[in-house]
Amino acid sequence: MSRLSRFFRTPEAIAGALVLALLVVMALTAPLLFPGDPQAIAGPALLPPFQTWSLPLGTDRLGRDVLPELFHGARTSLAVGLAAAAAALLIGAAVGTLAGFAGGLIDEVLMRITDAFQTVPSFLLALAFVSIVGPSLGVVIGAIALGAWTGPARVARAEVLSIRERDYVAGARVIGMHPLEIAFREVLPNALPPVLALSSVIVAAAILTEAALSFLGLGDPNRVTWGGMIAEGRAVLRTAPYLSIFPGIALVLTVLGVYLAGEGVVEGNAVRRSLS
Amino acid sequence: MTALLSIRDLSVRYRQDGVDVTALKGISLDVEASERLAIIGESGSGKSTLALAAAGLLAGSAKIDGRIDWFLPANAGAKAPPSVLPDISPSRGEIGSSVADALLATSKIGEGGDHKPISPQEGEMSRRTERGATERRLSVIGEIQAPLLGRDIGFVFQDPSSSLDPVMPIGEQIAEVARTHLGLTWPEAYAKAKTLLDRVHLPDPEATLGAYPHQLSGGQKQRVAIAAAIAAGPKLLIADEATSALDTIVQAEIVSLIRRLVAEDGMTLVFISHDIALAATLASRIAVLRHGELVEFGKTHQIIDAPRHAYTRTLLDAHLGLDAEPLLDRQGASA
Amino acid sequence: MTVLAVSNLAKRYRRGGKPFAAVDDVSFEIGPAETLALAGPSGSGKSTIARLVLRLLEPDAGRIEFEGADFLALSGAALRARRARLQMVFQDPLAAFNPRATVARVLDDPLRIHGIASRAERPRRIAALLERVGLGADLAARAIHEISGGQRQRVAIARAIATQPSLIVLDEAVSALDVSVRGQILELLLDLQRQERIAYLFISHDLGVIRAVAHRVVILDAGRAVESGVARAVIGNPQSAIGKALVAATPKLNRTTRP
Repeated sequence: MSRLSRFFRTPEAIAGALVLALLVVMALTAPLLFPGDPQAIAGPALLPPFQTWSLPLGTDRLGRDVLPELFHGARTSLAVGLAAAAAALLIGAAVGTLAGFAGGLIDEVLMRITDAFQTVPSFLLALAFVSIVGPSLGVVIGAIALGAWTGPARVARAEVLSIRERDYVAGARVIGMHPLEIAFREVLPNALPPVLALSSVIVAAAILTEAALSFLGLGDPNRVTWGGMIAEGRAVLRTAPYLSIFPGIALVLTVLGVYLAGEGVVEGNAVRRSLS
Repeated sequence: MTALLSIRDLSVRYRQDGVDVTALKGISLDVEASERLAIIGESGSGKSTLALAAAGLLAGSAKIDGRIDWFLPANAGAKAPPSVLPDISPSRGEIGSSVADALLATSKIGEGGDHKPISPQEGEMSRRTERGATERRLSVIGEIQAPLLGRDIGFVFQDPSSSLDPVMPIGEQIAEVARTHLGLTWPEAYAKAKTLLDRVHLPDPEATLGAYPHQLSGGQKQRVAIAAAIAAGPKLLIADEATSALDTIVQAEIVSLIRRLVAEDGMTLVFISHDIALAATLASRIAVLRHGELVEFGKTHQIIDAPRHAYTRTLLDAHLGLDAEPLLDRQGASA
Repeated sequence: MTVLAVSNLAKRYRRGGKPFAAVDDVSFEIGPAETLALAGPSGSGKSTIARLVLRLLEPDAGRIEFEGADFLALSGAALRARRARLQMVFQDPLAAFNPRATVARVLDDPLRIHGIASRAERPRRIAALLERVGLGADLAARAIHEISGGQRQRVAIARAIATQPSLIVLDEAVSALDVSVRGQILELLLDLQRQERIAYLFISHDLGVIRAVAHRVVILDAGRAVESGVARAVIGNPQSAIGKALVAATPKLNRTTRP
């Protein structure tokens, strides 16, 4: 409760939370408000927005309704952003904890692998991965996570290296706890806060990467994505700019919302830490 | 005896996790010039809060009631450039004007000794506006300066590692104090720092000037912290658990160092400790704090030999000296 | 019969490129229900010896025999199982526990790991352990950071005795406590020793405390054992330079009237 109130103390956090809440509502209500295929043809092609009640944001080149496309696009953005970030944090935390806690050869090997991933630009990595395996939602999530887990891994390892030397880890060894249990039950939970602070950056980056992949035509073809919508609109950018502007605005607001809300969480935690 | 510092009805409250915590309740005591006073108590007794309050180091969120009056020698502040004073001063340089006039006169005609009250710290230091205008008959008089940490008060903390800057050479840290408060040039300040390192008995002061804190042992770091604390020739030295993190032998060395420096410079010492036996070896008077209250205050031999308060007796009985009856025997257990 | 026999123990580190001996050829023995104190200034190697004896560090040379068997020969699961008999209490009771732990979890871990009690039986065992160290069973639900320092150190002792050890290493276990609490903790330790026949390796820089609770003492200086014997005799009349310095440095209360 008090953590929540601290979170809502900054106006940025409130704005971020509102945007995120709106996004979640859009994603959750999309199948209820707009049942059926959002990619079905609904009216005349290239109808400008605010002309008819039934098609409030107009239609695209093929006569598809833009509003349901935006709502269903929110589903993809949110799903890919959260799933990819969760996967990246999970892999990163596990790799970092193992490397930091085990030390020696295991540490060396894991960190050189991390180096290798970090030296390749994460977008190129995702691009190559999707081009080879083929575009589908799961592959896109995997491709994005592949380039994003190295940051959490490094932060987790640094934190684990300092926690490893604490008395309570020695205490856990003295009572005969198994090293793996020490690593994942005693050390990892206490190493998590700085790793989780990265999550907003990772979610935002994942949403942008997904949009970029879709823009290049490497998104899941069976799903509406904001990146795909922008790419669609590009061909008629002069005559019907709204086709690119609406998903563009949605994308900007979403990334901004994720950042601001993430900052709010980090600051709330910082206040709590300084109090204790 | 003349008082250097007079504390009246001092209460300090903190807000912690939404709960008001009272750290000090109505403490009144005088610190006399050139005395060695020990403030002892267990954890949560408020002894460190008292030291911080005296030094003006309490956090802005602390609610302070009561008053702290200083009686510093008239020339104490003359060495420092006035420009640095108003901002850093723990009492914001405010002083009762009527009192000030009288004392300015006193100092001019050279009567009544060389002491004058410098800064009555009025009411809540951080939230003073809550007081009515009638009580705020205060005016800032630039000439008279409030006690200033570093110049008038030297403070030695428990953990020398965290009170020294890890990336600044030792010599520079000490020289900076001398330069800021004594108006010395850098070469003069470095010469002063070298003398100080010699005075606190660090081996090879010349080499130590360029060393960093991590290159020294805990005891050596505490010697450096003491050198920095006395660099500007303060009237009052406050040592807050300054030997608690050290082992017995180093502790004894630091205590004898403090005793010698205080005697040589005619400083007043406030020694904060949890160890009544250690305090007794150093102090002429002892104040015993418990749960933020002053339970007993008196001359050392009276506190040790004829404690009036039951809590003081408890502390004395809990001391395990080299002459006490071993607990092993009391229990009747033997291997 | 001895509980712990340490012979010719050595541990070297490199400091600033130069090798230096943290522990240098140290030997001692501890019998059942006996308290052996290791005394010395900081850097004398007493905490390193504690960590070597507990296999938190590996020695460069020497032998550690625990309950008649070579303790250094153990590894993996065998070592973890053996740890039940050799426990430790740390100096700072807050740092010694996972900051997220509750009292119940702290005491549950050793019972679970060593299969001492079934899941259903454990809450009762935890309550009994808390009672044994003078705490109420209602404390079990509290978080470690919510209870006082003295209570925490009692919980640490409860964890140490949960597996019925024959030896507990007490590394400055009472140094961080208030004097009034310190007395009670020392009484508790002595009571446990008498009732359960536990031996203590008692590490402290405070000769007053050592004299009060230890049978024998080993005085260390720069990693070497320079003097040893019956605690009261050694402290009453130290022979080594460091022993004399430690005695001289111990604050003394010269009370003319006694309670």
